[in-house]
Amino acid sequence: MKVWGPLLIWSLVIILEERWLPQVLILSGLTAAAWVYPPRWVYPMALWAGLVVDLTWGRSAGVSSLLLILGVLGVQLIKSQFNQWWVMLITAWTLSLGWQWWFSGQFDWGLWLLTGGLTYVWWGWFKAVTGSRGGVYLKGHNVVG
Amino acid sequence: MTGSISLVKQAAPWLALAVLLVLLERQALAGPLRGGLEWQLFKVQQATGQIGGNLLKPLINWQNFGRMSGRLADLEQRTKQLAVDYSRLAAVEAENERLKALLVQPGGNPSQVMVAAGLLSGSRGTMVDKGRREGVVEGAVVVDAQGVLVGRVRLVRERVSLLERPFEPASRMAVKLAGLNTTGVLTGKGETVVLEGVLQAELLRDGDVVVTSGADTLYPPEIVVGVVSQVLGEAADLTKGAAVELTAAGEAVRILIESQ
Repeated sequence: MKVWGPLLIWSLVIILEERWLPQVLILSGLTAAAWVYPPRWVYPMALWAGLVVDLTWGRSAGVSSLLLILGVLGVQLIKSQFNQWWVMLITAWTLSLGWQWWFSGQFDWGLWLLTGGLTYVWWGWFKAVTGSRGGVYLKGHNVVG
Repeated sequence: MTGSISLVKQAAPWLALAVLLVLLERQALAGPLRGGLEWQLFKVQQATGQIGGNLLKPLINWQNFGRMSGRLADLEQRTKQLAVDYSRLAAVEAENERLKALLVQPGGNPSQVMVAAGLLSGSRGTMVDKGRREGVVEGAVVVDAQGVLVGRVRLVRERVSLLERPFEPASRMAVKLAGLNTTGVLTGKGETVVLEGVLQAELLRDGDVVVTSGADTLYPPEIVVGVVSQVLGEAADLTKGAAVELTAAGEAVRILIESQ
């Protein structure tokens, strides 16, 4: 239940994101999830998010999933070296920069700053629902050691 | 180092799955899966969009309060609507004549069928919930419930289609002013549309109704597109132009498809 709740809300969020906060919700959510949840939960989230992003507007499926899974892998590699919340924020901002450049070729300061803020909010919430000290990631699933 | 290798190993199956999806797409083997998912996502987006719109309505109303005269806006709207109605009436009369002519031909069939569809607009484009399965083809024209132009089909998928809207930068459309000989090209500018290439000697005024001319062979003639909101250009120029306000509205549309 601790995992299914956020996953259900995550599914709704990536469907809603198109109308309200393009890219910000997906990137912030995935970064925070990769920081808190075990990889076996985060990769399906990335795959699903990429599929929704592609299929909602008729693009070829799979490319966004591939990029998001690579992004999650990058986040987890960074976390394995620097497990600090502010590193997570810098990671989210870097991903946001890459996403804006890749998908739109434009840069929006507001969305960029918001990505960091929302990452912190997601992170706090994920930690709260999984346990105050890092949750499931630290409860027997921490592959980083 | 061991930890990093372990992380890459865990990612490998998911990366492989994503690559498989890309390959299936390239070979056009993911059609049924894509069709079902796209259609379901369309419906969920439509529903969530309506909920979101209703939630935001009080906020929008509050923002509008005191900022503009509601009565003035209403009158302006009515004026535009009257102009659109007049032009639409002329189009209906022309269509009526065409149908009458078909009735006297033994075995004659109307050349177009209309497919009702739902419309979904977002920051990445506009879609309708009908696709190849319903006989939609690229280039099919889409109008709203009142017959005002919404756009044309740019890309057809199994159960949804993507539209090109008149305001998109790639959009070019041959148009004329209803009831006048004035012709020009309607060009998309991202969020707005501009009528260009109107000769100085031609009549062009605020409030004129813009309809398709059919000269570009992309759109049938006499479909209402919008209303001239501001004439642009200098008197010394060879041509003049105008900002045009598009008048299509609503989320229920019809797709015009040539019958077989």
